Amino acid sequence: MTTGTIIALVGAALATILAGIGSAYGVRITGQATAGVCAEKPELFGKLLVIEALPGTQGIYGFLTSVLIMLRIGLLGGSPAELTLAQGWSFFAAAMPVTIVGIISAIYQGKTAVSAIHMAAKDPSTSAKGITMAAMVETYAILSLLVSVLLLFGIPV
Amino acid sequence: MPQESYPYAVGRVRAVEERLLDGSRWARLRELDEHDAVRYLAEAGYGANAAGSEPEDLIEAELLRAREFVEEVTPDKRLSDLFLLRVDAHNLKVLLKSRLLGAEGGALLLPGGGFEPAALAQAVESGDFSALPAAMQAPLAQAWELAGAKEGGSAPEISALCDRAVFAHAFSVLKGARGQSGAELRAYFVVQVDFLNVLSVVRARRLGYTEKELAPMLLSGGSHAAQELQAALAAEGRELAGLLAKGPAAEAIAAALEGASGADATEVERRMDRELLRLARERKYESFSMGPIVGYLLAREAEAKALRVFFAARRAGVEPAAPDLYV
Repeated sequence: MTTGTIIALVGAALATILAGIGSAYGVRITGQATAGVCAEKPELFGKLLVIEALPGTQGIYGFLTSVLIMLRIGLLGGSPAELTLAQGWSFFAAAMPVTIVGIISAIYQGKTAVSAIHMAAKDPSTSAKGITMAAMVETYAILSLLVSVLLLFGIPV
Repeated sequence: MPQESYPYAVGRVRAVEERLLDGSRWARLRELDEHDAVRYLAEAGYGANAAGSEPEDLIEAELLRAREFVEEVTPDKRLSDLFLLRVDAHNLKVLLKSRLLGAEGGALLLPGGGFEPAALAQAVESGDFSALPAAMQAPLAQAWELAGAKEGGSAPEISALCDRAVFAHAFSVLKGARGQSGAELRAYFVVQVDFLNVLSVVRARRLGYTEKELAPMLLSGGSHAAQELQAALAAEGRELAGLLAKGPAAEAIAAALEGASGADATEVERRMDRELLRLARERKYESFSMGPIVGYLLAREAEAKALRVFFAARRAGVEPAAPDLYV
């Protein structure tokens, strides 16, 4: 295995690790907020579940990016390509948008979602508004995923 | 059992905030006589598990429930307990004044403080305050000496020493509190001390106290130096606001002292309650701080006070003033 291939694999690993950490944090705090509200109003669980799950998507985007890198370099087929240093760094760079934006946006989305859950706790009719507010943060995670995917498919192997 | 998560605690608070009496419930309440108002409150779930059916029974039961709720959900018991010190100060005053008067005050003790009434009673009985926080020990020992003195024991001075003890403890806890919550809570206690000192000055002026007599009544930790407060004793009525309007609540203090009735203790107290509730209201929408948690407790206390005024007004046959609402 070449140094270029190893660098590409580090990029793939970071995409899952960092975006996953962000999502784990985001879902953790929304889960705590939901638990608090449901301790008093268990009937709101259904309405809050969607808001609670929103920060989890960045982890999925990171995972998806990692799998795409593995596919592109032929790792899943059992015979990874012998990448040059430039190709390795290109894959690493392609993973960065979703990695960096993933961790940060998941944390911020978690905080926004917590506020939305608290808003819905007081007035359950505002839960759809809460989903919209938290989903706005998602925009930037989606854009970063898109850029990562476009970059990945633009790298000649 | 206390837990560590702010999102969880604030989530629970948000869910129970709707039990607070809002504008529409107050409007309905104001249409009712005392008997129907008590029934209306009981039907709305206010004061559930009250020992009796008198207004005061319901109010005390609801306050106790709010204090126990905050104890249960708080992520930082050291900070939330500071807002229960009002109950502890009451209990200490009852116990020490009972000692002064040679009376039995056990029936007047309130549950729901940061310290068990039995533990406070034992401390006052033995004069050993070592089980209480260090900052409280010296003022309480001084109050205990005063309460045991055959002559010269003064109930107002004992009250002031109890207040001094609880505020000294509050500031010592807040000194070690980090982050946003610590700074915000510190500001709250500074405002409270400022108002209480202004209140002492206003009462001392009414009673014709000298600077020496006023000195033991003053609390430290606020925005005023003791000399400034003592100097205000001799000030002309119009100068008073200029001398005492200082610190984060300067405007509210000035408004209280410049009111139509002049330097009136009731007006200062009313402005203090309003300012403290305003400070609590400013933080009510935060999701990661103590703001909404202590705000809920303060809202319950303000609501209890407003209900007491409401029922007193009903009994006196006068129209009660509209309460200042948290929600």
